[in-house]
Amino acid sequence: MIFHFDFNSNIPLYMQLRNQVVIGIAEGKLLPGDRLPTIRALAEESGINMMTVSKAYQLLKQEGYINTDRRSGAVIVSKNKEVSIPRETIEALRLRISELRLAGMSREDVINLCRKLYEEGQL
Amino acid sequence: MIFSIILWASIIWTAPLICYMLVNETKFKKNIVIGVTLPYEAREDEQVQRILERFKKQQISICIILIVIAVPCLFVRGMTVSFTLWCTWVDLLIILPNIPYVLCNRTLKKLKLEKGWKREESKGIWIDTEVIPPNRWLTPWVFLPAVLLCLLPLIWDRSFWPLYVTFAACPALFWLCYRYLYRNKSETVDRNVELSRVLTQVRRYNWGKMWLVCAYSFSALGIGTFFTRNYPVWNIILIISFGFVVSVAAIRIEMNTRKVQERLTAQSGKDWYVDDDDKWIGGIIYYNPNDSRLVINNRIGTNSSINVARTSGKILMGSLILLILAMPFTGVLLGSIGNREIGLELTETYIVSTCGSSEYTVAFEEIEKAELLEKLPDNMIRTYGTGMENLLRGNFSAEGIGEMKVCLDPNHAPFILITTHGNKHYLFGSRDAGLTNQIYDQLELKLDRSK
Repeated sequence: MIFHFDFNSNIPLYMQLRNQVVIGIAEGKLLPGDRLPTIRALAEESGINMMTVSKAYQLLKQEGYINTDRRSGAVIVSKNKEVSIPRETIEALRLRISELRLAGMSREDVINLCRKLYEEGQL
Repeated sequence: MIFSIILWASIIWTAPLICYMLVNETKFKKNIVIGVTLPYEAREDEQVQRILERFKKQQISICIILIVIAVPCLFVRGMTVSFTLWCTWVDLLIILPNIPYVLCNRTLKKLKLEKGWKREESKGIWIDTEVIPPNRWLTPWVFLPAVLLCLLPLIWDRSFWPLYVTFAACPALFWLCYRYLYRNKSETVDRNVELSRVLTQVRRYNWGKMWLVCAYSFSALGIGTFFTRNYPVWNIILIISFGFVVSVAAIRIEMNTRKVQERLTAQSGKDWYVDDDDKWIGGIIYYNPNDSRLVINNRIGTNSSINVARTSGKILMGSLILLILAMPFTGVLLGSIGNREIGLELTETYIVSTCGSSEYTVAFEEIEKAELLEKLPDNMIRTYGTGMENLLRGNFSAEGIGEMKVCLDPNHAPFILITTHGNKHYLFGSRDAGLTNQIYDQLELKLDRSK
């Protein structure tokens, strides 16, 4: 798995990390049982503050994508475990769909685009 | 003259060593040459070769100049002047070789732009989780025997305890350096994951080896000091040899790392490769505001550097520059310490000797006998304190006397040797021979009266 951090982006670094892990799981790059690097190791490698990495991991744990354990570090949880969809995600989706609608896309085009992205795993 | 020879023998060999290390930077390692990352095709480029050849010649010339400057300094008399010259020479040794380095780095960067070798800057950083190294370190127990070995002489000799304790603190300090002056980061050169792993392992192995060598060398020095403690000449030879051997060993480890880096990345740079040149000012100073770490690994070899984009990095770098610039003034400072007034007086109940902040007081009732010496006792060895050509102050030991507290100028006899009832010894003297004689006479009188 390759993580990319853009320091000029408006998205906070912890959110960039969280998003990439979520995308990685969705695309099958991160499988249940896979271990994420430890907070210290990822912070050392990237130069990002340990607190930032820790914040991303806490969020992922809270959202049910990972399990953290003192011994094994952060582990991707199995797919059959129910992951609750945060209200913000639905609101964000609503906003994006509205933008596409205002850009002139029809309902079918939006659904087709979503289907295509869902199947290809290219977000 | 002997002082000058010792002083210069301790440092002069570093000039060719630094030259050798800098000339080695003209060989491509991890696609980097003189701090500039270049593609594979640049290795055969005539212009690049010409710039590198010029750099080599400049480094050799600087080395020769430094040695030539040092030769007449050997014949300079006087500790203060010799030390000031020595410090100035060390400053030149640090600064001069870096000037052609920075200039060469700038020329190569310019050429890189002209030839279109500079890739478009990618936004942010890419981290491959496959190459992130595990967080494994040598246990501090490996360094513990070195600490114990340094303390071993205390069984037989307690008089030099500050020295042995200082030696013992060094291996402990080296463990801290080993653990905290290294950034556990992968050595990524290109997309070759295996190559990154091997390079990381090589670096980690050599980093640990270097600090272990330093720790156990200090043990050897501690034990060697115990055996040579009564032979100053042998002790100085031991210290100089130790400095030389440790430096050569450390540089050998560094060069071995570089050799492996050179060999393993000999075919790199043809496809995508890491280029961090923008984070290195002049190829020497690391400046990356997006990196939260203070200690970072140098791109070549085993050493570490600091990130000056951080406030603590700025403070450290500023302090280091100040320290380097202030070095020649330490000679002047030493001179002023040596020329401090040495006070010797008798009060109603005490004999008092003072120098700067040090004060030695002996009550008359404690004194068993006092002697006037026309010359210093044989084989006087400093245990703790100041030992300059015009000032001896602190704890010393001497043949036939043992341990004693000393405060005097060795160039101005006579000296008053005081022995107390508790068999403690004090050796005092003033820079005014008349005053010393007068105080001795008065002291004798007071002692006779009290008897």
